[in-house]
Amino acid sequence: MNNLIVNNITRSREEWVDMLDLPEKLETSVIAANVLIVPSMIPAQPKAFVGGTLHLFAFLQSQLGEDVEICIRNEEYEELKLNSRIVRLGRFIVNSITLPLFLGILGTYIYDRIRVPQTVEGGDNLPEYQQPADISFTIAVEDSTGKKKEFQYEGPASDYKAIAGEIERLWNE
Amino acid sequence: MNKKATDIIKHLLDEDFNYDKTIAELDELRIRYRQQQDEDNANNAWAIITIVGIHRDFRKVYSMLKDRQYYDAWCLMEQIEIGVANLLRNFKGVENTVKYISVIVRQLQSLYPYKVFMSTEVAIKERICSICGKQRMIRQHCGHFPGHVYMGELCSDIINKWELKGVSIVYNPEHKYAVAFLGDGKEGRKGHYNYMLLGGLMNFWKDPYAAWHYTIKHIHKSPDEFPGLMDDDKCPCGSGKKYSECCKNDPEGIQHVVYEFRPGLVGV
Repeated sequence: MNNLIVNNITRSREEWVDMLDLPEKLETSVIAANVLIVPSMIPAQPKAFVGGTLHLFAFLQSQLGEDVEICIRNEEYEELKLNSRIVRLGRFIVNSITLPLFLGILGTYIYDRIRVPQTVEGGDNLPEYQQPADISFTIAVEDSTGKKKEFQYEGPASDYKAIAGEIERLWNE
Repeated sequence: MNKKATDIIKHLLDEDFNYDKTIAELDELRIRYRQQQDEDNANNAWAIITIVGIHRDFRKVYSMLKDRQYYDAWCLMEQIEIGVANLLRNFKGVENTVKYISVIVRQLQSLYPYKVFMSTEVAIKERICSICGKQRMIRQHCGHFPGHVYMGELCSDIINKWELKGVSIVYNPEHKYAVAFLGDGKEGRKGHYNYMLLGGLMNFWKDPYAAWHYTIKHIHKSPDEFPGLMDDDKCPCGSGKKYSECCKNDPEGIQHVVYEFRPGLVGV
């Protein structure tokens, strides 16, 4: 599917723990979480998260409870609001059992974030700032057998439902 | 509240409707409902205030365009867009009250010559919630989400500490007001944009609530229609290239775009 990239190599939870020098209690929680938000790997800002992560984390917690964790010490948390209207959701590590539920919750969050109603037909004649909103995210999926796959998407938000279905299909194949 | 809202919406398009007075009255009601901890009515009052405000601002946009205050109208249209998005995020059932404005605003925006915008990269260090005033921390969220309405108030983040990391030029900005203008060294902004399409529209658009739409036709014109056109001149098609490096090589002639304005909306 267009705009969806699949990688077989992804940074592990243990590597993130080492890189961020997390305390033991947080490390335990990071390793155990079914959904983990990790730093967004913004060039020159290796520990930063994309704008909106604080609210996304709270939203995921409201839906998943303690199944979700964020990979950073409280005092080191920082968001970087980047230019342009693309809705950047960040990077996640997700346990395969939680994947369908997580994708559904993320879809609800995206629907809430996209602020411009798509009410005008215009196609190619519309200026770029009126084109349907884009989203981006990276989801690394893993299971207890050691299987790992990383899915990167950047493209129209309106394709999210199809992309979510494709991610599940590619993981299961 | 519901009866009052219905009555207001019925008269919203009246020529003599007093938007500011209505908003002031509704705000008193909203504050009273807040004091009574009546969240439903406080939120409904917020919604009606927002709808009335959107219509008031839309009339202002129309007047600004008539007065050729194009950039000011552009900025106010962005506020309308944000208002509509916040309204529909919280009250999906009221879409019909602002749908016409939403469509016309998007059509107007697409007639502007603005293409590039300045956009900031900002590291957010500290912020508080506009509803409860609590500091937002990554593992201490108050439960109020930006863009949602609580007890008649729209929630937003209030950023107390931030650091500018960079400024970029983008086509698809987060903030549309950040239009890239040429500087003139004095007032800082030079009106170098060509608002010909909007000027043409305003000759034809006689009432803010008279619906219109436009179609675009791509045609070719003969070079004979541009007497004196030299190879080194800028191509009349508007590409910015030299004529000799652009439409001169097109056997069909010089590319030309025709905008045709017609009454009524399409696709709504």
